[in-house]
Amino acid sequence: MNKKAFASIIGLGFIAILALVFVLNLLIPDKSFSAEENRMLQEAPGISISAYQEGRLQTKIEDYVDDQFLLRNTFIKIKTSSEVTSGSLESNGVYRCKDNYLMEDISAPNQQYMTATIDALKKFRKKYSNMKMYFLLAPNAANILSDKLPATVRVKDQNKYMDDFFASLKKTGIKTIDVRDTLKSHADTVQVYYRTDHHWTTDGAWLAYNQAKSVMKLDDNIKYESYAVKNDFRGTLISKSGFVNGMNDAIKIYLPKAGQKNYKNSIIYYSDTKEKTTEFYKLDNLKKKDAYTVFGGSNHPLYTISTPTKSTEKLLLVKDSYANSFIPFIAQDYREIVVVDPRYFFDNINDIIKSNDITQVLFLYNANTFFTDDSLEMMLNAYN
Amino acid sequence: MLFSSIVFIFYFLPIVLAAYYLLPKKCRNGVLLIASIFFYSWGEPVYVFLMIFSAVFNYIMAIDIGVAQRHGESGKSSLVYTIIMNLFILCFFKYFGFLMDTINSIFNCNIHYTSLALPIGISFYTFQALSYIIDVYRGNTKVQVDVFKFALYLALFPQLIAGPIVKYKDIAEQLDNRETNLEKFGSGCIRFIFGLGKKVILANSLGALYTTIQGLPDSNISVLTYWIGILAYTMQIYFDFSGYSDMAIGLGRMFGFEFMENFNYPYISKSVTEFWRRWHISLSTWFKEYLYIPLGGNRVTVPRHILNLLIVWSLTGLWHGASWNFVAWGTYYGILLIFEKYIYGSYIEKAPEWAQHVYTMLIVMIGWVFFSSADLTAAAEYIKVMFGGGAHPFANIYTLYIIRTNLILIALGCVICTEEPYRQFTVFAKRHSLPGMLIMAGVFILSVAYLVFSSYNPFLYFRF
Repeated sequence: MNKKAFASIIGLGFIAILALVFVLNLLIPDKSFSAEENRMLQEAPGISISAYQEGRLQTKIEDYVDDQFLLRNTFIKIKTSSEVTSGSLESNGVYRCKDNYLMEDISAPNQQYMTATIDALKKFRKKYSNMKMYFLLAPNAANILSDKLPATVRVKDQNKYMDDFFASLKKTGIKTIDVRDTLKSHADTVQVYYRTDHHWTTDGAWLAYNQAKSVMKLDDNIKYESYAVKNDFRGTLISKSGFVNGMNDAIKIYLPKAGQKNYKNSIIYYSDTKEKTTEFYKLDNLKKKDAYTVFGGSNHPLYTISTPTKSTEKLLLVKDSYANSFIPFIAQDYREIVVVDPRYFFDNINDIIKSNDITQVLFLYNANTFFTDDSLEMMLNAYN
Repeated sequence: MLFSSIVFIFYFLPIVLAAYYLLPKKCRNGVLLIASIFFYSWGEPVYVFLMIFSAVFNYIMAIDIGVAQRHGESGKSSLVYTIIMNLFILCFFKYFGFLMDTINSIFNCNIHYTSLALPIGISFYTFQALSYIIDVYRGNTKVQVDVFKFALYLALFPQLIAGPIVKYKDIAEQLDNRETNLEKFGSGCIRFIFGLGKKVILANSLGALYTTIQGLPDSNISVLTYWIGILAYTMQIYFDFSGYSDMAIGLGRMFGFEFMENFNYPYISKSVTEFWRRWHISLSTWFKEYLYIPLGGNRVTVPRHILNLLIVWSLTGLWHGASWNFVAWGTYYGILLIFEKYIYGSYIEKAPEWAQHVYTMLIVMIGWVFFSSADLTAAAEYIKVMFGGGAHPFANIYTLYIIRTNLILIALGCVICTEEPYRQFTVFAKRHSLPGMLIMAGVFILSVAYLVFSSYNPFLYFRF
């Protein structure tokens, strides 16, 4: 074909594509929510001269046409596939690792937050010196499974950050629960982290619980059996990175073996939703985009778990979402557990301690979140 | 509005094309003028009036010069006044902050001032207006009596915000009469799509790589990583700028205009002199025609010629941005061009071809360090590391990571900097037209995917 004919056909094709896309973009109804990105999409903005003069309208229109563009999710997949093909190993802070693992980069501690948090913990410990206090800081996948990182990737040394933190904690008298060796030694035989999610698996939480048991001198001897309740779990790291090629994981839940008299059912009361239940697991959430919410739903600022245990101890559990799959185990060891997530809890923690007659405290965080978060310090210092 | 945006390609462009081709032929200039003013106001809803003022002012002054010349006068005073006004506006908006900073640092004082936002494209359209007014004075072109046509010349959206700097005399005729046909339209589309790909797929990814390397913590820096960084920037700026020019030329053709070429594979040059014949051609020819030659060019004594070159090149540098590192970058080229002309040019010519390429690219890449750095100190720091003066290792594991994850991008970039791929494509498409079209479609789809992805913004409320 000669050059002229080629150019003419390209010209016609270009016009046809522009016209087609234009019409389809007009005809296809707008979406208000993107499940892939888990956010509201920009909808058609109202038009005003003053918004145009300030440039706000232009920004909104650009967001609108980008968000509502034809086959948006397909184009996003095309782009990430192209990046992967050209050798990319990282996207939005997530590494593409061996065995189909996606792992979040290791976060360096925010020094300002850490100094303030350790200081707040020290004061807190002093104030309630009669209580036993424990701190379980969970390591992250890129630390425990560092041998699965791509050969050329060197992440920051989380072990050093954790060692430093544990050392300063010990001075305060708060007991540390270090589960790194346990997780690491089992990592070959048990999957301790999800492939596409930043949380540990229920097996990982179970291993950590057993270690906590010996440090905290808990003595329940409940036998559990694990059941896979979902076999095609894809976690939030898929959305975060946009990487499309992942591998399904199973979500397991541990249920007590039948016929154990010492297993007691708990009553859980979520104070934000005023919901009372005996179920730790929200099986309906398995169908949701973020199936990890099967463990107690999304984030609750405050809830209480009452279990008619032999023990009369009452625990304050200050935590992030790593605790969600851990809580069903420890519920068998305390008459009452008050669970607080400082990122959403803004009331007076001292009142909670007093009114619930708290006798022990457990802090449970994953290192990446903890090292970059100041909500614990804010909660502990808020009403002092 | 950027050409490389969804709103431009899939909303603005189809509407303007439809209006342009479906309305009666006499409306065409009107459609383009309205579209251009709207296009500019999208990014500059306030400064659009400054551009309109500039159009009206230069239009009137050109008539004034024309009338004066018809009465046997030279019109020189009007010319000087118009040039001063144009430069004053440009300097006021672009260089005021720079000037105040310089005064403050020289006299060690602290005069407060409010720095102004730079109106998009002001350097481009001011230079276009100047080309018109000077050519009218010189009698190289006729005075434009239709204010709308002149405004269209100045505001024409394809070349408005990033060039090429089209001279009025080159395009005057096209404002009245230009041919449009399907083949020309199609060749414009081809040009536009390849330009879009250069900008969106290559330039943006290479830019991200450079930004990462520039921001590396001290412990990760190595000599080789820094060289890769500046190589990435070298390619980024070429693909960005030439991609934008390609899109401009392509869009121009879609509406029947022929703009001058702005880039001619600059990185295959064998000397700095040649590089500047191939890089941003519309700017260097502008400076040549309206500054270098009026200063006497090279038909003067050697010291005067050297002075001319230094003036032209430091101003070329300053044109790129209001900061000393741009002046340094321009002067650097001025000096090197003087060296090539008077000292070692003949040796370079005798050197083996590969050495000529290496020499040129080294100069160009070091030049880009000045260009890309925030200030001269940062540039000096970067160059120090590149030449092993920073006590950093030659390479480290991070260098490997960079190579592992960017090798294909860098290799692709290096190949596309040469003229071979496009030439091969043309030959290939002639023989195998369907695969050729599929390649075009692939580039376009991938570009759109990159554009759409830039708005990918996962919200992790479950970021517990």
